[in-house]
Amino acid sequence: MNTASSFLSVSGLSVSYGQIRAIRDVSLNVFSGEIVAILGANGAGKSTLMKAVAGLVPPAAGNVEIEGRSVSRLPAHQRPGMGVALVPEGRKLFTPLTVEQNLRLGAYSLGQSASRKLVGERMDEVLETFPVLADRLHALAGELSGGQQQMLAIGRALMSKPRLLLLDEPSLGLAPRIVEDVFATLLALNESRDLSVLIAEQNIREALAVADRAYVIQLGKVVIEDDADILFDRKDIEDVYMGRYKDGADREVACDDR
Amino acid sequence: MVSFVEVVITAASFGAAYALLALSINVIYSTSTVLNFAQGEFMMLGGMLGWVFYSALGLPYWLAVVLIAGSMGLVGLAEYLLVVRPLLVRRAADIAIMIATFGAAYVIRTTAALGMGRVERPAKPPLGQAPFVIGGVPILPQSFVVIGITCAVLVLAWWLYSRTTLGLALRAAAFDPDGAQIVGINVDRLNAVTFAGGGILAGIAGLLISPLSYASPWFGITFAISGFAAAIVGGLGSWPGAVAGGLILGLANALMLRYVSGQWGTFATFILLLLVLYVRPTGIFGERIAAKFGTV
Repeated sequence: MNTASSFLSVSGLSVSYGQIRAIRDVSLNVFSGEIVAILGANGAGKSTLMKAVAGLVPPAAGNVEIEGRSVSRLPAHQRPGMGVALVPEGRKLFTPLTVEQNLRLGAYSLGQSASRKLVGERMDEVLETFPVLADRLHALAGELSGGQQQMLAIGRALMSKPRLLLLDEPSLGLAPRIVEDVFATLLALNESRDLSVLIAEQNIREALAVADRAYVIQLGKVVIEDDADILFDRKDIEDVYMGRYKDGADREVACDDR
Repeated sequence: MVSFVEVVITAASFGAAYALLALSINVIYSTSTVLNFAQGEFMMLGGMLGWVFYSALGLPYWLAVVLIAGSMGLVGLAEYLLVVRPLLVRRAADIAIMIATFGAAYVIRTTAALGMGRVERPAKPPLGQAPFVIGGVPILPQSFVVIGITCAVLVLAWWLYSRTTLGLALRAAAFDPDGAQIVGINVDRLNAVTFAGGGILAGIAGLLISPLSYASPWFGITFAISGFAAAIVGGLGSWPGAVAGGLILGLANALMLRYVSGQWGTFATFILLLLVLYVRPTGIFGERIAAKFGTV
């Protein structure tokens, strides 16, 4: 595989919380314009991986590169400026602020020099993608439904005009129909291939349906890496979840992936 | 009538100073979630430096204000960098950080006492001692200075927090530090900014109130009690709460001063604090904060 054209390149990445190693020796690539899925059960290390790419947790070993430049030492607040935006698990919206204020803060990394006009243009684009938010601009983010909050979280991330969107469990706690909407929007956003997407999901079927490639992680290690349509047809794909995924009941539990 | 006007003016001017201190406590708390117990000492330093620059050295008042704002900004920043930040980085418990700020307060107080002695120094008011007479009551012009500047600061704070991107970022950083970082907000730097801002506000409060009380290394503790009580009575983190809390405590203190004895002021403060917390554990304006910042 040719790493020269990959937008995100993770190599030999390990992250520890105290004595516990959450992910070990993970390597993966996201090429420009790709949708890549990270699949795994609760606690497999998906969230830790996403946090490490976003800079919220420091790596114990290994490297994270954006367009060939190492960002492992770059603090989280400088990564949106590199074209990376995270839609975190649990969304982490500013619920006491309005929808509009959340979106404006999404453009914070564009800097003080970003004109009102530029921020306005970004907001128009985001509202075009999520028309439901346009009707609720002055509502507090905390008053939105779960699906609307997820759209706001994605919208907030899009405000910085990222080139890589990191989505951590976007389907968590959402009704199946809303999940479909969210994934359809991701496909639409990716259509022009200006935006790469890395998506961590337990909802394997949905994720594989939109992804180009996927990595399956188990106990903090990558165990399978393949094209999404090949994985989609593999009957044993659910077995790699160590049986935890069987009834899907634990999907509703907002569990910290750490 | 005479005593009524007297009580109102005393209540308003001391209330304004308490409100300013409560505001400075809120500025730091509502971004960093640190309760900084050195704020009273910042206020004391403001009063002491005011005495040095204006009363002793005879510098122009505006220059004294600028120098105090500058030096108190640096003191606030120093406290953040030397005391608070190292603990935040190590993810120390809130209570540990709070106790560390007690330590910082003690160091500041002791240093001031060693440097300046225990004397109570009368600070010179910028508009002179000649009183206005309202309703037969002589009122020091400084009372109006305290009230006026506090109102101006409140308007400025309201504008900053509700109308500017920096204000939004300050609120976002308080609400969800991780969420703030992923949109590009440098939370560490904002924390530093609020400690500098809190230092400046408390220092100015000290400068303003010292002609109405006195300047000494010990006056910080007295004001800290009232300032924290004002912030808590009003509802921690709430701007209207800081003002309401400040004025209520100012009134209680003024009533005690007029009808009982000045020494009962602190007693009244605590009784009020307890009463308010019995009825509303979140403070007067606290519910709105709880609703806004609660889990959704």
